[in-house]
Amino acid sequence: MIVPRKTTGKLVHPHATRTAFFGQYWASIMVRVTFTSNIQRHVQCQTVDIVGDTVREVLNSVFEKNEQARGYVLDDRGAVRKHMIIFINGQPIKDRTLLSDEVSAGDEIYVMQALSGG
Amino acid sequence: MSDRMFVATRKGMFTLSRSGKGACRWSISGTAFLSDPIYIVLHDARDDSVYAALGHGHFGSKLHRSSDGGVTWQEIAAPAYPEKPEDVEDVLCPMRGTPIPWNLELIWSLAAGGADEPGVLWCGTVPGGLFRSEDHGQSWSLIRSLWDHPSRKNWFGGGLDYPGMHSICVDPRDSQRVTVGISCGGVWVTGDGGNSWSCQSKGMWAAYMPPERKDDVDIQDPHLVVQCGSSPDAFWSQHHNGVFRSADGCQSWTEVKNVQPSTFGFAVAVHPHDANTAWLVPAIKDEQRIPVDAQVVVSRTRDGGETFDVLREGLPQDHAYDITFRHALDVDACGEEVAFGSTTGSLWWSGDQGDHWHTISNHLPPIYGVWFAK
Repeated sequence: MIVPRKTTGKLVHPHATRTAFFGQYWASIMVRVTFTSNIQRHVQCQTVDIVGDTVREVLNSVFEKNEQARGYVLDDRGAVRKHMIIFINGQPIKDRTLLSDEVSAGDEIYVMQALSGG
Repeated sequence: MSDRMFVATRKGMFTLSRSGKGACRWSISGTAFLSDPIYIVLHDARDDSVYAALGHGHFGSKLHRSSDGGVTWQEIAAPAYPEKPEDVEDVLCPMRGTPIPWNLELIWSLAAGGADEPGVLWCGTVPGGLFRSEDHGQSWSLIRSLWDHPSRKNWFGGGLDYPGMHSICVDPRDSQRVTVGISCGGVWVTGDGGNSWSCQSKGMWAAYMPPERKDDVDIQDPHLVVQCGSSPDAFWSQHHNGVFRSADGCQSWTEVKNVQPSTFGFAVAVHPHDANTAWLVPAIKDEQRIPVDAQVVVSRTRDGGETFDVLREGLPQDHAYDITFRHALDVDACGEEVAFGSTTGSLWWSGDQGDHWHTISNHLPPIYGVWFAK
């Protein structure tokens, strides 16, 4: 399930917003995914709150709704492009091939471009 | 006579049209993808569509298609390598011992299929795979017969980390006959639409290999391979260490030794109606890669490589360090107009086969490719 981020008005803490809408169950598994602004030139990637236990699960859900974006972040093999980087709560993921890093309630995933490709 | 010219640069694509004014009758009439690297542009004369291959530093290689001459664009599928079967062993780069990835690294060549097969496109890539589309690029299939060829284990990158397919020539007599050039993997020919392939680089030789391997056909580095439209058995190649031509459909190659001022370069163009006329843009050989005497010149032969004219009128002759990449020289469909671009963003045009050159711009981004609409 994908919940677009609130884009107007005062931002409410994600936990509070999600809890209000979906109850305790959804709040316990929602992860926020944010994409680098640079990717927006090529394909629109909205910040979303989404369900998933691993980075792969979360991104698969994102890309099911936005298939064009998949190829901008992942390569032919589904691994992270060599000049892209994914953070969980500020830390780079460890498994760039299978994206098996686990995520949990309230985690924030940032999909960024690595300076190595600049 | 071509009415448009397309220029691919490190920072976008430029469309030029005839302005009808002045000695140089071309001017920039459109831009697209400004700030993005464009490696290949293909004008498909069968339906007047234009394809652009982008190579984003971070986001990978992408393909876009325009049906209105480059005014508006739609992203289409980029070729994607299939998953490597578990029972298939990795092919290791012979120079580094590292696996050649089953990943699209770069789109390095695009060609339209024959007039009898609308919608068919060919796409050459780094790390060496050839793809075919039968639906105007909406979907692509890797040509496994070439990718799985045992000879691929001998291929390696020339200037790039992995082997790259930069040349695709579809025979105008028979669209099932396709010739491709690979750096460094030699010249390959199929006569059955890609079902089977043979390496046809015999006669080329490689100064960059040990003496006992210099004649191996599948390690040759043809920087570009071009085919004469009216004499399709005639090919020219600017190779890493020389210039070669074939008169027998690539069954054999003969070295052309008289190119002045040097035999090194990247680009070559052949007259569409006269296989004996060709153009090259020479430079000092490979470890330096600057123009000889810092003078930009074009070498032209009209006798099949026996003699060359060094053409310099209108080109910079003092402290000029422009290099012309392999796709950045083209001749129009009549064989009268020639254009080429350089790494320092200069673009020149000649309306008389290179006797006189006119500057279109000295201020473009580094130029990767120049193509007349044909």
